[in-house]
Amino acid sequence: MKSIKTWLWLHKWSSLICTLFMLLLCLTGLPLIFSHEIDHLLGNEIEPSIERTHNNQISLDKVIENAQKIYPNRLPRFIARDIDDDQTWTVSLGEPDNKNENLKFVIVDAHNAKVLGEAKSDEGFMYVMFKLHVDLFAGLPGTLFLGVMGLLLIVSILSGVVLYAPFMRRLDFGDIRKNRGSNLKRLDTHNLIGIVTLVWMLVVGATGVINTCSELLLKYWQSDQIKAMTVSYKNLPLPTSLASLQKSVDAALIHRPGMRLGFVAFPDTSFSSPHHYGVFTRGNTPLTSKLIYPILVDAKTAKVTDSKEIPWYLKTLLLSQPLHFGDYGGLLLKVIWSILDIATIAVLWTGLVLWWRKRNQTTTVNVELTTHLNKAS
Amino acid sequence: LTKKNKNLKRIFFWPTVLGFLIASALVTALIKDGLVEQLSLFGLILPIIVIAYFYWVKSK
Repeated sequence: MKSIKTWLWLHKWSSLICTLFMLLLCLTGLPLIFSHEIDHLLGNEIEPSIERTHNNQISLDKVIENAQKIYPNRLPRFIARDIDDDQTWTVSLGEPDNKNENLKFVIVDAHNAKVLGEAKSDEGFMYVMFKLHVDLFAGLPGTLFLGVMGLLLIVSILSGVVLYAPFMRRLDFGDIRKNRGSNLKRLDTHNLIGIVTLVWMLVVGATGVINTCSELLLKYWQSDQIKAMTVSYKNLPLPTSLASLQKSVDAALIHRPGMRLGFVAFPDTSFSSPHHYGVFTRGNTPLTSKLIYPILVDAKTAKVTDSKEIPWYLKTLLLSQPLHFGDYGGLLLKVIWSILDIATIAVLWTGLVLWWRKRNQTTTVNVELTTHLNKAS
Repeated sequence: LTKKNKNLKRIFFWPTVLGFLIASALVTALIKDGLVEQLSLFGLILPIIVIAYFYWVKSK
């Protein structure tokens, strides 16, 4: 009896603190599940004018050259493409003295190096949804705060599982008492949806928490592995001109044959060193295509200097992303994700209303619970 | 105690089955392609059907 009271206290407070933020995350997450489709519908997606059957890719040096023509005073920082996209490259360009912030994203055709347009990443409805979901417009502190709220959600889910037993003692699985007052119906609905979606909520909650650590994990990886891999360059002068990007990428792909180019980080970013291109390849199986394999290429000579598998914490981060986004099983999985997201909103909402009602009066829920608990003990 | 354990088994039987189903479907869809992936997605639809059934069809 006493221990159940402790669990009730834990469930109540962990939920109360995080519920409003979780409601916000569920509501903003809903459009984000379909961000690709929404961009497509709104006409914001930039695609090559002709779908090609052949796959003759043009030199990456030409791609960079043409992208830079749009912003002649900026320097390339990254060149990247989506996991399943062979048609376009996104070139990010930064200001010379503020290299890694306030980037511009130019989309270039991968076959003829024609500039297709610019990806606007800092305006519109989806941008607001994204920022509210990721950092509440508060940068890294906002992200970490949401991570703590996610941890509270996990505490609330686990304490909810413990409490499920005393509440279900006299009921069968799935029973909803519809005709005995709105509070009992609400309680039964809360318990049913909560226990059925339990594993999904735990997975999306936990992977969300891991994602909030991504910036810190990348910084740690850079100060740890990248630094160790480039220690012999420590006292060398910085390269004044860069070797051909295409040559560097070719060298990297020969070093790791059978892999697919994912993205390249130009020297002096969070994915490279001041002396190296960071070339990142992906595997070809469903699992390894979600991971990245870094190859460091000397930015002066276009020769591979080192390559090391990413550490376990980056693998965990990369695999937790699809499990959070629900973007790895086509449109069907996205629809399932959105239904389960709405189910989570129902659990949060019914929980909040149950607490609100209970706060104002001694309800049948209380009476019911006391009866249950007395019988149990 | 035995009676209590029996009761706990009864209470958590279906939640455990559904939990295992969801977990294996999530992971299988992540590491497999094609038909196996599609089949595992149906494993994720089942919990939704279970909720809908008890909420709209079977509630008393």
